Amino acid sequence: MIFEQPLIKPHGDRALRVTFGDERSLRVNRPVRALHFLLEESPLLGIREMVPTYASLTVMFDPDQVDHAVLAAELAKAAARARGRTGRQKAGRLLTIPVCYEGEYAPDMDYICGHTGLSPIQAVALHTGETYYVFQLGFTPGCPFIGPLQEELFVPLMQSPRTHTPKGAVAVSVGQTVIYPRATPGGMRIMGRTPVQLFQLDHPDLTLFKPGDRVRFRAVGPDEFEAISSQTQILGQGVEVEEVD
Amino acid sequence: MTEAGSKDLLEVLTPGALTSLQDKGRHGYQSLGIAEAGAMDAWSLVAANRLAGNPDNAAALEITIVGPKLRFLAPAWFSLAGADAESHDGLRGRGTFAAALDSIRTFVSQRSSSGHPPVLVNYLLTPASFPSLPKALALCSKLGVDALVATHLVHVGTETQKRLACCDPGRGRGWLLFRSRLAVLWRRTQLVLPGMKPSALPVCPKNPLENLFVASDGAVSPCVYLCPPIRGGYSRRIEGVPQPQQRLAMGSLERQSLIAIWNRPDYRHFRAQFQRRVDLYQALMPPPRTDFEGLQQLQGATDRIQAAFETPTYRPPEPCRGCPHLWGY
Repeated sequence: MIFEQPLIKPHGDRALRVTFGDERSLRVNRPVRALHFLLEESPLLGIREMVPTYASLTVMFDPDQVDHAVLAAELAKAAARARGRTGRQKAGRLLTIPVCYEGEYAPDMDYICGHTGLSPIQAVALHTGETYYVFQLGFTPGCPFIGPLQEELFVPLMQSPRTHTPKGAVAVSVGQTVIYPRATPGGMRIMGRTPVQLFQLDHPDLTLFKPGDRVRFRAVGPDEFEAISSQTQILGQGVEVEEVD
Repeated sequence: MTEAGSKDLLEVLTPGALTSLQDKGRHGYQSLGIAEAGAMDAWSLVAANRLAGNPDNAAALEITIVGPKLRFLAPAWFSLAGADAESHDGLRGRGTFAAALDSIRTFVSQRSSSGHPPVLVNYLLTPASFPSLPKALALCSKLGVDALVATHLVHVGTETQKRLACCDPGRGRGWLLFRSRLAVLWRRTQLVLPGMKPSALPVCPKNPLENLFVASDGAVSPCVYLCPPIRGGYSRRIEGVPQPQQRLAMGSLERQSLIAIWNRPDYRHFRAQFQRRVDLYQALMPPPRTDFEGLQQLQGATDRIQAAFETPTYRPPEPCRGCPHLWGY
C-alpha cells in the first residue's frame, strides 16, 4: 500500500529514512525518485548522501551540521512536496542490454518454464517486451534491482542459493529481475546472461546503471554474445543508451 | 601511528578476531550499491589519531572482541581509543572493560626503562562523564599512565552538541577541577585539561583587518555579524545570558567614500584593538608539536593568552564583546 503520510524514521544515529509505502511498485517508487531529485536540486543543510530504494529514500546527514529533529521536519515538508509533484521530473536514460537466453547461458530456463507454464520463446518475449525501471542498486556494487516484472514470469527463490552465480547472469524471482555484476553466490533463477560490464572501479561512472534508469533487454544468440563479450571490457560498451523524458 | 621512513615497525604475533585496518571510509557511493566501509566508531578513530599526532583520517587498527598480539620493533607513538566502561561492557559483555585496563597495564609494563613511549589516556568530558574525572585520574595513576588528556566539545553548533558540551565550569565542576588538579600533586599521572570555556578565537576567522562588510543600505561595518539587517538595538544570547547589542555602522556609502570610512578614527581604533590581540597570539603561540611536551606547551600558551585577553589592554574591540564568534562558538 501507499502510506497516507510518508513515514520518517531514524536509521542509526546519522540517517533518516523516508518511506512512502510498503510495496514494490511504480506508484510508491515515483515519490521516492521525486524526493531524491528535489533534494539534489535544492539540497538541505547537512545532507551527506542519499540512497533511493523501492519504497524509501535514506538520507545520511552530518550531525555536526544539522539536528536530527530539524532535518526530520524539513524532510517531512520536502516529502509532502515530492508527493504532490506533477511538474518537471529528472530526465532519464533508456539502456538496452544484450542478453543471451539460450543453452548454458540460461541454466534455470527449464525450471522457469516448468513453473510458469510458458515456453522459452514466450518467456523471452515477455522479458524483452517490457521497458523496466532500475528501482535501486545493492547486494554487490552496481547490481541493479529491475522491475516491475510481469506476474507471468514470477518464480520463487531457490531453497538454498547457489554458491556460484556467473558474472552477467540475468535472473528473475518474484516481482523483480537482476543482473549479477560479478560471480557471487545468488538465489534467483538464472534466465540468461549479458556480456556487458556493470561495475568498473577505475571508470568515472563506477556503475553502468543509476537508480531511475529505464532498461530494455535485447535477445542475442551465443555467437553474438561471444562477439560482444570479446569487446566489452569497458563500462558502457555493448549497451545502447538513449535519452528519454 | 608510524614514523615516516621507518620500516618493520610492528610484528603481528596473533591477529585477534576481526582486526582490520580502517580509516573514515569512502562516502557518497551507497546509492550505487557500494558500501562506505571505514571505522565503526568514527569518534574514537579521530580521538586515537589526535592522541598519536596523526591526521584525523589516518588508518588505524580496528580491534574487536579479541584483540591482536603485537610486538613493536622500534620506538613508536601509538594510542588507544574506544567506548567507555558502561557501553563497552554493554556491547561486549561484563568484564571486558577490565580486559581493556589489563592491556593498558601491559603497555605500561612493557615500555623501556626510561619510560618511553609515554602512555596517555584520552578522557572525553561530557556532563555525564565530568563527575568521574577524579575517579578516572585515580585509576590512571594506579595503572601507571603518564597523563590523562581530557578533551571536550567546544564547538557548540547544534542542540545535541550543546547538551554534550561542558564548557561551563559551574554546577560543582569548579570544585571537581580543583580536586583533580590537587590530586595530581601526589600522583604520577599528569592531568592535561582543555580550556573550560569554548576557546575564544583571538584571530576571528572573519578577519576584520582585511575584510569589511557593506550592507544593502550602504552601511559599512567591520563584519557581517556586527551589522545585521535590523535597525537599532537587539540582543544575542550566549550561554543563556542576553548580550545587548547595537547595530554597528562605521559610515554609509551614501554619504562617504569607502576610503574615508576605512580611515575614520573609530574604525582605526577598532582595528588597532584587534591587531593587538593578533600580535600577542602570534608571539605566545608555540610552533605546533604533537608530543606530550608540545601538549603542555600549548596548554600553557593557551592559558597565558586567555589570561592576557582578560586584561584591559587586550580586551576585544567593544562591538565584538557580545559576538558568539569571539567566544569560540
